[in-house]
Amino acid sequence: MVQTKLMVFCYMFLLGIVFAKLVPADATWLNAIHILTGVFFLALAAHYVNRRREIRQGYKYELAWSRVAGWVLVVLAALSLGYGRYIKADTVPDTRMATVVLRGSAADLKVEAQLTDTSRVRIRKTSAVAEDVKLRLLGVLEARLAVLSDDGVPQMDSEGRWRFTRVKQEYASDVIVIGKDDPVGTDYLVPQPFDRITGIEVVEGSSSGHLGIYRISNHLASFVRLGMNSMPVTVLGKISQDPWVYDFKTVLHISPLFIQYRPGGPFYRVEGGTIRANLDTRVDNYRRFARSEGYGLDVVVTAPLFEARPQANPGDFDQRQYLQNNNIYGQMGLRQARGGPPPIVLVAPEGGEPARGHPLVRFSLKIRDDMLRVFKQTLPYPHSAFVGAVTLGLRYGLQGVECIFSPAHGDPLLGQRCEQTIADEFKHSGVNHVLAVSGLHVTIITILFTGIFTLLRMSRRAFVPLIVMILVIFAIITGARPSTLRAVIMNSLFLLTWAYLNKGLVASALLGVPVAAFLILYHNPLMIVDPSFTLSFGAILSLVLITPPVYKLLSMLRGNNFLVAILILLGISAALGWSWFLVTSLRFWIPFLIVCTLLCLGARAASRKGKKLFGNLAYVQIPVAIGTLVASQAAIQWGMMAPLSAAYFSRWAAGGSYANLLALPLIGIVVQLGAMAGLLGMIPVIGPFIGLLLNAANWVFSTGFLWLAHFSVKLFPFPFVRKISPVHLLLYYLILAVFVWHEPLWSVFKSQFGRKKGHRHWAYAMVALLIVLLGAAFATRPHYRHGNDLNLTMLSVNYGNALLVETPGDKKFLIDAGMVEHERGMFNSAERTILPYFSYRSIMNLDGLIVLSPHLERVAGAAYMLRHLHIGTLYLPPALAAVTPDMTEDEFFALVLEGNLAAEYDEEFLRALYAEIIGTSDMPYRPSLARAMKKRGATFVNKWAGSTVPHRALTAGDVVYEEMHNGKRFAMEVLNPSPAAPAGDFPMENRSLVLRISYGDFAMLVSGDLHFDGQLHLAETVPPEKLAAQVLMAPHHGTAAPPPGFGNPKQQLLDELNRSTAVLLDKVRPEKVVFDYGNPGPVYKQRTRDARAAHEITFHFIEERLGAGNVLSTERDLAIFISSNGEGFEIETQGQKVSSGGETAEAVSSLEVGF
Amino acid sequence: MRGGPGAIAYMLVISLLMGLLVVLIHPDYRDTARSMLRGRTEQSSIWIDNERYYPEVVLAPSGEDREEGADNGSN
Repeated sequence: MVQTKLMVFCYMFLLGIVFAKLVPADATWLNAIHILTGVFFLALAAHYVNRRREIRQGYKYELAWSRVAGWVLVVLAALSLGYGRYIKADTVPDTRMATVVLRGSAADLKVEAQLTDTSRVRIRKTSAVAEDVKLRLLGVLEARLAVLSDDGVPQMDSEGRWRFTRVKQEYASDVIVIGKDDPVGTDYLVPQPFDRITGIEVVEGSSSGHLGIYRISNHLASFVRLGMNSMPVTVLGKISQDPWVYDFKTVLHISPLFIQYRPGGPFYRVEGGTIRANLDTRVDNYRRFARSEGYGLDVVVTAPLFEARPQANPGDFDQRQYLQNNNIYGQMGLRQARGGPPPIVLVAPEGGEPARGHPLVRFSLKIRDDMLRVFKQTLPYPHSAFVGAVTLGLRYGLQGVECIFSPAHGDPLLGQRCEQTIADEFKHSGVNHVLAVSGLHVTIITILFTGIFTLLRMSRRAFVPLIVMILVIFAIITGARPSTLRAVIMNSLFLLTWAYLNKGLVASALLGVPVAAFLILYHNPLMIVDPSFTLSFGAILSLVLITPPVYKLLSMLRGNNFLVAILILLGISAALGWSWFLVTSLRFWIPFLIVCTLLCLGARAASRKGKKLFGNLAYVQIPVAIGTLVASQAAIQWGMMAPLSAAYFSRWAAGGSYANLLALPLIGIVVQLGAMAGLLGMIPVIGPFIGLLLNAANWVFSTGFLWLAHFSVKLFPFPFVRKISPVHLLLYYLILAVFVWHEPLWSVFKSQFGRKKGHRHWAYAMVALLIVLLGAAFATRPHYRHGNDLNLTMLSVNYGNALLVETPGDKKFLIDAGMVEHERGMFNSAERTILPYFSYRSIMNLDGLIVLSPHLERVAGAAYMLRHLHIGTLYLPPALAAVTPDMTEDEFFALVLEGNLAAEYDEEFLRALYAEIIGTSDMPYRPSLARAMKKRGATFVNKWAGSTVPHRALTAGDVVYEEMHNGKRFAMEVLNPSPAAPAGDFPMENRSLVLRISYGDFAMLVSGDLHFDGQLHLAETVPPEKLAAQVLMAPHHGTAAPPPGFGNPKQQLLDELNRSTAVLLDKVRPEKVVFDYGNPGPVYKQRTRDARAAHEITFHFIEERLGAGNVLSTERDLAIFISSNGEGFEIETQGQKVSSGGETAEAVSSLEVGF
Repeated sequence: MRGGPGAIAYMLVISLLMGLLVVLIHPDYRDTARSMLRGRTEQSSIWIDNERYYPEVVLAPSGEDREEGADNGSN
């Protein structure tokens, strides 16, 4: 009973967190929630004590009401505890310090609590005031100033405490104006900090009313500023994790103790939050921090403190939320100016050695480094990185590493460069989970050491505590991520119950899951939605709960039925490998299901006649280990991979089940051999030789694993799928629960409705339940469209364009597909932004994809759109419509430059175009537009799946699409290129497509990449009524610039803007201009600075003409949403949607803290 | 769990034999074994191959590193 109550308590705690996430209370209720939780726990304790007393007195049986009361208290205590923990973790509430009663021209201050440290305060208007009141706060500041060394670095005392002097000063704050028109609840920031508030003075105005004075928490979140180039802050803190060392940077996690917000200002004591800092390799003393010994050091850091970029588009990965879930509220880029001081300095206690971290952590990190040293001696790269990742959790070593067949790793077997990194191959093949140290790894380590200790003839009770200690060290070595902690807690519980209570695996797993979840979430309730938490628990629950019924289901397969099942599986696998479009098409499933039905009927007929084509072979005859592995793979796919992968990542590794059948046994060997080689390799003298032999064998297995991932990607797709909403996820798991618990459900059903027509009842019940659940799923399907409006969504894809046009008749067109850069940072806005957005919106079909020009930021993502989406027609400018995969560079350049080979383009730019549009021979599998067009040509499989994509060249006068809706015409017309359009020195730009999207009285002009001559030509040749538009997309992202020449470049650009852009603006007469702009680095490379400068000048040039607020940018405003009903139009931005956090930061950033 | 000890011993022996075979066949492993026997692991092709992988993990802490640590201690 106690065990059951413990499990229920843990699950209810989890439910309390979920409840808090869905319906969060205001942080001001936190004290009340804590009191309520305390009351529930006291009542629970009283109930328990009373029950114990009753048992001692001989009352063996508990009364029903008492039993119910006990359960209710357990549930309430757990729910309120979970709820309170989440609210506390999710919010940083201001603390009410005092109230102010305004009495005419005087004010009474009633101090309720004093400030405990140097703090900032805000005044809240809690009642209306009759007129504007100007007032100021009076108080005392005891400014904390650091004691500096001769070279200006803050010092520590001999005890390792930061040394300060306190400077006391009494002063009044700046004047605060409480406006009579400001709504009740308005907050007014007091610009100066205080240590004590002593009074308040009304400077001007006379009114009655009430105000509240609140202390702003000194949590790190309240110190971050917007933008990476803001004023630097100084932080005194400690490196709280082992550094993440890459070959191009090191990531440090710094726990700040004190922060100086302004140079020369006071230091504040920080009340929570961690800083993630990227340390540049060129910083002085880089190597001092870029190693495990960096952990625990006291440091002084001076750099801008900024917050992560918010979610730029709906459906994007929310980096800011992810970091906050991991308690990271600020980021820093630690770079050293030439000749300037280093941004990070190590400080030691006076007369002592630098501080070190926790001894156990240091010991663990030393073991990790020693094992890594063995790997570096005994495994070639990238095998060492792979074994280091799966055995020691050092997965950052695999970042950006080309696949095993790359010439970078020696002689290539296939003589081709890879289009993907090893990490990508793992992700795409569904074996990525081996890189996240989790239950699999911890279990392998547990089995390994259990075996070793048993070999040494130690008793179970003696070695179990040792293994628990080893698992703790293993968790620290691998970074103590949630999945590892979950596994270590569960394995430890299992070992302890196995050794001391003789409990079995399932019993301890069922107890271990909720207890581990409770321990992790109690520490950090925000992890509840973190993938590392949910995927880990999803996997273990799938294994424990779903594997048995799946195995039972498979065990029913025998004889001819077994043969048919294998044939069906082979058919589906072949179709999966052949084309994803095929398996998502009814054109495949209808004939396939007919064939399956015929096969089943044939098998049944054959069985009746006693013909057994497969003999008596049955699933149960397969060795249990293999049979269970297959069942567990199916269980993990159904329970975790398929639903959660779609919910989190919008993608599903189609070959995951197949790859994991081999990957799981292989990883078991790789991890065990790696661990043994690493540990034995540390033995002096002979150790390295044993390590060499073991890892030489491991080289074979790890090669096998890397090959497996590589070829699995070649065989199976990694498609984007519709993102599952929380409601659908819930319904899905309800259906799965019916499958898992169908037997007890059936028993209950049978006991209620009798036994006579049992099976029929069962079938009716199940069908009814399924209809209800599927009906609910259909009824709650995502439906994002509102009304019959034209919706235009301009995604924020860095430097580049992706404009989704949804017509009033619900046709969907995408204009441009964003930037992809394979070579340097593997930047891919098609896969990182556009396709996840489509997945979020459940858009898997486009009526058309339009590419405006051959520029990379428009065309490079098109190959990925063709790979993943059903597309009606591909619309291209004339030059691109003629490309083929076998085109030479000369042919391609002649085509896009229209014969003007002296045009203003550098060679690197043109070669990059060739690689992305045509494709290079050394990377035959890398997507390019020409290859994708060929692949989506009229082949047999495309015709069968209906996935052929025809393409069409557009020129001025063409109408891409038109429709009538509610008496209003929607049209997408082409205005450029006309035959007379000047190509000049910029043929690609001036021959770019220009579209006018109109609906009723509304129009938007999409001006593509037009350069100055093209803009002028358009303005002069197209009739004004065809150009007029309320919204103009700025030509060429606002980065068009004259060719380098003599004179002042800025003046030259302004002259060109006056000559052409100003004329175009006069003709178009837009109310709003939108820029599809972001970091131009990936496109402009060496000329990035020039592009930025050109954009700045163009942006301000247009802003001067339209007025501030009428010019938007996808860089600053993030995604831009325009909608029109054919009369007016509305513009919203993603920046407005996510502004709550930004406003807080902005408010603090404007605060000039001084004294 | 009970069958573990035998399996681990078996795996260990097989792996050592298999590793010996790889060392005999694979040129990089042969070179590494030779370098290790000569006490010049830093010159082995496998160690050189791993030059950029966790470069801060070196064969033995160098004198320079130790000095650097001492200098920084009194920063």
